[in-house]
Amino acid sequence: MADHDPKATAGAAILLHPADTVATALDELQSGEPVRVRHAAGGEALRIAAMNRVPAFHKLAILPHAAGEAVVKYGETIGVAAAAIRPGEHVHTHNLLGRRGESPRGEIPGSNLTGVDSP
Amino acid sequence: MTVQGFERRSGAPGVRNHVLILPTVVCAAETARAVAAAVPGTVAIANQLGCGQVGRDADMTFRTLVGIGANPNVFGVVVLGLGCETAQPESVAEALEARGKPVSLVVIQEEGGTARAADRAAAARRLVEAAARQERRPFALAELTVALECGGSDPTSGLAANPAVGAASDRLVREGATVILSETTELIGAEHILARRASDPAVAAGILEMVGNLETAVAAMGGSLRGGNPSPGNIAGGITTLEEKSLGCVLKGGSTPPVEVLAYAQAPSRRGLVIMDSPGADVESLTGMAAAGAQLCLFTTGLGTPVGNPVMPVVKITANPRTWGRMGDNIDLYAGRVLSGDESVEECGGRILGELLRAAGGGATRAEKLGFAEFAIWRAGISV
Repeated sequence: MADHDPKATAGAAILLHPADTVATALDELQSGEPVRVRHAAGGEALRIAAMNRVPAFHKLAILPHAAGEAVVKYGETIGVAAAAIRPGEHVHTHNLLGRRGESPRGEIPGSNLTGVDSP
Repeated sequence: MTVQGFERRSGAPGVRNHVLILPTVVCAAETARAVAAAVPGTVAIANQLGCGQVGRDADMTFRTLVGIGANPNVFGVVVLGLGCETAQPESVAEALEARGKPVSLVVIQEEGGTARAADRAAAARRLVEAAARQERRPFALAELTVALECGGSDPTSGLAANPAVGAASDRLVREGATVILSETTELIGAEHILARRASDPAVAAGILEMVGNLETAVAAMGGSLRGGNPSPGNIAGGITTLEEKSLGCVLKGGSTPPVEVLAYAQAPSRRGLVIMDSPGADVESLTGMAAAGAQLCLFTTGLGTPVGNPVMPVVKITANPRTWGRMGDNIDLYAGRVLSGDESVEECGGRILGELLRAAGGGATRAEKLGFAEFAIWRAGISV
């Protein structure tokens, strides 16, 4: 089967649920690039400028997050913002922390305390 | 809709007609491999356990070995023991006979070495000949138990491949089939969704308890799941947190209510979506579902993986265009057109079901073409 038309995913991101605060890039986005964010069910949700390079299938914020605020994807909480996140910013291990599967003491042997950006 | 399968004396039909060389302990595994190499049409499992095990851990290994031998895709079994192991070969053979399998028992210490045991085990030839005489006949889809798995996940798994498998799961359940969603680690952060949808409060409580037990066990080891799950590859691909991974993973189960919670390698007693306690480690999870009686597996991957199973055909699906382009010898179906909006999740689910039924009818999967038969049993304890 032929792959999809690359034009359909270039400069595009997908929003999985109306309550989501992040969208997923369908192709690599460059800093400053205008991004068409569409709903998973079809139809454009919004347009936003990427604030950093975002690798394909990584997340970018579509709303501002204060530090400690929930980050929402699939309509569910996937973790909390480790720092303030601006709309259009790449959201990954440097600014998003999971709350589950962690040591209750928050201590992660062999890693730093926050677990940010393991090598 | 029907599937062409092999009738069994008891239980569901098989979609393969394997003759299995089943070593009851790691010490017999190389002899089993030699027998399988010498007798075309047989398959050996690479059992790494079977001795120095106690309690729940020993029970789980025994249940898994018997379950793999009793899988509907197995025509008959040569149980190949060493003799002195914890998982006693006579007990495994008796359990398989009780479940209606033709069994031949060979014990290396009783026969007097590998060569004599291998000679006796070559009786597997008769099983192979008998299996070759059996013909397929049509069965209802309701006779199928389908394992669900995701491995080497990336965000395309949760965006497209898993929802499309979920659509296939819903269609299978509507036909009366059973689908097994497993990988307890990858329910963490999404267990509330499954519990809310469960058929009754006991099933809901069972799901929450299963996840709670895992978190307690991890905490008791003084540890964190971080570093293990999401894996470094998951993170590089764009999955940041365990919750995010889990929310994508559970989409494979579709939208029907979970009707039963199973221990590892436990056979389902109800039809519909069932949840099995298993680790996120793919091969152990696949082994547990095959031992529970799954005849087929739908396996989604983002980053790509070659994994197969000794008795259960594994149909691999990716929605990652790069992986599809680069790992074609490992992947059976491309679901990435869902990402570009060129195909609906429902349409893709229909294609996945078609590919599953093609494999069920005898069409070799990519992993089968490579002859891949990864096998590993989950541990619940330490070796003693």
